[in-house]
Amino acid sequence: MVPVSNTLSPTQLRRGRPADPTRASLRSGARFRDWRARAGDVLEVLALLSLVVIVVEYLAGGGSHDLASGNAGTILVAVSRVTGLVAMDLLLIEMLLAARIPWVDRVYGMDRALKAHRVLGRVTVPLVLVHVLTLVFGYAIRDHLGPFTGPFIESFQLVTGGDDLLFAAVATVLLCIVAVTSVSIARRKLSYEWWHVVHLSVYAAVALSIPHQFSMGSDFTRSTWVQAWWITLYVVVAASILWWRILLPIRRSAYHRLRVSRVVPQGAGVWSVWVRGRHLDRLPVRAGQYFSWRFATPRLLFAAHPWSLSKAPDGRHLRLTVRDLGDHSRELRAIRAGTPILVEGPYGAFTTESRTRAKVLLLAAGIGITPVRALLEELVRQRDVRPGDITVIYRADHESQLTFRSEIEHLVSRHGHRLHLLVGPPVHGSWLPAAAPGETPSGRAGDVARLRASIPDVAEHEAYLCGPNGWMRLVRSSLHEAGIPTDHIHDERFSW
Amino acid sequence: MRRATTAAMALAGSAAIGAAWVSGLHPAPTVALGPQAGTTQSGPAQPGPTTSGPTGRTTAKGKRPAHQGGTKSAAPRSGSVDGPAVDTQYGAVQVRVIYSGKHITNVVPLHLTDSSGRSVAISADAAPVLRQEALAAQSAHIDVVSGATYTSEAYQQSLQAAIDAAHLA
Repeated sequence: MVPVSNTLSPTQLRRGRPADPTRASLRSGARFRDWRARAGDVLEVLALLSLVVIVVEYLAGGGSHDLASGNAGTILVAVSRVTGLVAMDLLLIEMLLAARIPWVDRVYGMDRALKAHRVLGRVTVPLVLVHVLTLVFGYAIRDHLGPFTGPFIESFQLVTGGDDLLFAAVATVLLCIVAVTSVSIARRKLSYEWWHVVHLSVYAAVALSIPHQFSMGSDFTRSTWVQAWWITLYVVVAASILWWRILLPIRRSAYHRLRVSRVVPQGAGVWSVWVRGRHLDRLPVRAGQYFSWRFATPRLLFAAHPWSLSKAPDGRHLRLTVRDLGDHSRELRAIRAGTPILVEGPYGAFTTESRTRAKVLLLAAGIGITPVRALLEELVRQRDVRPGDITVIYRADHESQLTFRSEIEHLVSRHGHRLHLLVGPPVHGSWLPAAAPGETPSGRAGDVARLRASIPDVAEHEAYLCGPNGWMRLVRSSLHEAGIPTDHIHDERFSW
Repeated sequence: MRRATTAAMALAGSAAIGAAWVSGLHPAPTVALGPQAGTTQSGPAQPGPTTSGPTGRTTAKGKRPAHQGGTKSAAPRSGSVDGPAVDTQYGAVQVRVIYSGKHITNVVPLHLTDSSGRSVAISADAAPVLRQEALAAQSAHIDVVSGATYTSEAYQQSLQAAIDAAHLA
């Protein structure tokens, strides 16, 4: 394979000498990619290993015997045991994925970690239901109860037989409610706040399910090693959640004492909030990242909102920019200077940390411009990019929606970079505005052709994109078809 | 995950699961475990003899325990010893006694009656009570938990055999 001229392989980068800031920056990008690949392997192997250990312990402890040579009742109970064990392990992995652990965030980005969390959730809840149903039917068969009334009698006996199974039944119901509400929010039928409150009951569900695991699950108590293994898992997960989701955000907010400095209208329905605080130079944040913001007003304190920084952090101020989307974003307009702010974060892998290509293509649509504008500023300010190597593509439905237009024009023109403003109503199946007469018609092939026409060397770019999910999907496929490998296309998904 | 890691993980994982499947197909009649940290027990694990009479119950008195630990000369010693699995018509009951010197510090149920959901629930309720009684009495002379007669009697037998084996009486 012939290496693309401006792409440096990790080995090339290691051998070369730091001739200029661009090369130094690309070299550190390659080192970061090495680290990320290794760290990702470690995290994924650990997750898979936890599953393998549990299944091995179950099978060796007689699970395979029951499955292979048991009667119908024994087989069902054996299936119930293994589904319960696997579901518990998956629940713990899901909790770790959502625990805002910095390594998970740096390797995958919080948006991808939470997507994995959702996908696993779709597997876990059905597994829990299988666990419950096979147990009830298995024991009903062993107790020689009738096929129709048996399961009901058995369920009643199990739930009333001891407190632990009653707790476990409550836990199952809570998990189902969480699953239903999560599907509803995906369909936009439920407000984020309600979903969040309900979602927190997962912690209660997990806690309620623990007693029956140790009092009845022989797979948990077979040996002190197995018991120690499970207790270690629980302690690690609980400590991660406590530290990274609760204590660290509180400590950080208390240390930096963030307050609203001023609110600036930024155009039609868009506001910027400037934030001041102590020792902001010690806040480990990069351009392209976001915080979950809680403003200390009665209506905003209990709703944490993920909003990106719209300005590269300079150690003195932070700036976030919000479009009025009808929820709480409107209330920011009236927020008073001096209002204290609690933050969780920074989160997000949408940074230039993994850049190994000299040329950069920044693509934004609508309010997705906020992190892209911060990236642009960082690249320009830190002299990481040679003049003319950045191309910005900014898509909006209407000219009035081009937030930061003058700021971006200023940043781009000063160093000879390029800016393409694409304005026009959305076109179905295309991420570009409607094609002008004489151009290739819009659509999959047309988009790639027009992208190549305006940026002939598009394949050599490191691409960063942010905008609505549907738009980003189309852009990704165009960029990929135009020749950019997937690991040089970075995106930040806003709506999650 | 990178390709090499994926391949290694898939191979190792399926090998471990395959081995576990095979070894689990013929479970030993009693659970034999390696020595625990801080114990002085040694010697190979012997499967505990359990017999099934017409009622499916057995008396374990006088029979050898499943797992005998400790060298007799060194005192005071600490360690653990497993009682035999005592069959009942609702499933086997087996306990492990953890001791320090002549003092029983803990009784861990290794297996409890599990023939049905009801018997699991019953023995899960009874086990903590029986454990408390055993720790208080420092012997197997403990009361039967009402509603859990079979579990209690089998518990007593397994416990008594373990105590005998460790020469705690």
